[in-house]
Amino acid sequence: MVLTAAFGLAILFTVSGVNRRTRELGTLKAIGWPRGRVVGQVAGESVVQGLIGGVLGVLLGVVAVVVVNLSGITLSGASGGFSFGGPGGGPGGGAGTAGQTAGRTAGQGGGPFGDGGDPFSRAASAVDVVLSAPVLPLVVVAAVGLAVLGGLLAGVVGGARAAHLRPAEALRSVA
Amino acid sequence: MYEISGLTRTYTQGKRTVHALRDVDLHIDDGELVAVQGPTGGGKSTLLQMLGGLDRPTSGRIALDGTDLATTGDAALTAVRARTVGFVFQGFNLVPTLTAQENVETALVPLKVPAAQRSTRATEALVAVGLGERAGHLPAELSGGQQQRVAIARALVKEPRVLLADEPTGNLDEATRDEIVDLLEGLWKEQGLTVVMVTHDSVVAKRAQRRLRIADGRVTDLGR
Repeated sequence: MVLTAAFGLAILFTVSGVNRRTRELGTLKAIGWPRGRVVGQVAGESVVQGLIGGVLGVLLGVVAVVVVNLSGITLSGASGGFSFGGPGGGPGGGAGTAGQTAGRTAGQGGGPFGDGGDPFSRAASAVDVVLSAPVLPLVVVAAVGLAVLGGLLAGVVGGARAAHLRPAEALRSVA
Repeated sequence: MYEISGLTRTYTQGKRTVHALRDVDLHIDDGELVAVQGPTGGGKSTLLQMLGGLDRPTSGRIALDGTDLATTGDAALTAVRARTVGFVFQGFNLVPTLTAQENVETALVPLKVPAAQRSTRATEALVAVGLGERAGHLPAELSGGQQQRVAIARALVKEPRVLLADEPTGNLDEATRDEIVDLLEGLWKEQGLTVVMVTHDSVVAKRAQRRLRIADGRVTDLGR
């Protein structure tokens, strides 16, 4: 949904840019630029913009990840459940969501066999989740790739519009 | 150079049909400097667009060195605009994000001139119009007269045989107008170009070898 909206916006901005540049593109056609060259110019600019946007997005994302990781934000919450105790016991919670790893559950320190209490007792325990966000190369490549793809799609649509500009009409429309 | 017969161009504006050119017959010799005058909406710019292969007539023939621009294919028409015809527009029509040098180079792109050669030729063209020092400036950093000089350099860098100018001095003050007309006249003499210039300005028109008047789509040859 978000991706479709992003692609739609990219196409909208590119077509709007072509409309704004009617005189410029009409002039290039008037001085002998073939249709394919004009389309290539518009599409090429759009792809480069997509690439720049993708790279900037990744850089912003990495900065955000670093900030999150350095800030050591810890989410606390109460969780009802069975505590099995023992060192390292109860590593649950939090691992299911991307960018979050579980912290440790309260009630650690109990021995495996009841060193710190009844291992099978029902306990209302507090859960601390330390937020951390990994940077996965695949996600980075996918993000840049999608940005370039969006640029390409927008470029094709914008280029098609530029291709249909007739130089005389383009120059007349802005005279 | 140009042989025109029965040239007619009509447009439809809503339910109205506008006759921009009506059955025009005209001959323009190689190396002539022709001024085209007439009232606004009389068909001057339409004739210029036909001469430059920017538009096609509704009927009639417009031959440039034997090639009928009315019937030739789109690719051939594009090639004519790229190689044979240079354009100068009233509003300069420079690309605002490109420097003077880069604007001039755009005319060599369709000719597939290598980058290094493009750069050299563009520099030479800018020097020829007196703007060698301003090659790195954006259009917004240049005066109207300087922008028109850049446009003239762009038109001439590809060494065309024909220069078509649509009100080239229309946006300029008198002093700058005279500079630009001097420049065009000098280039015409130097390079043996055929120049067709649309103008409202009688002072400019009087500099031409031959004057045409277009009104209501009909052409009258006023001679010298």
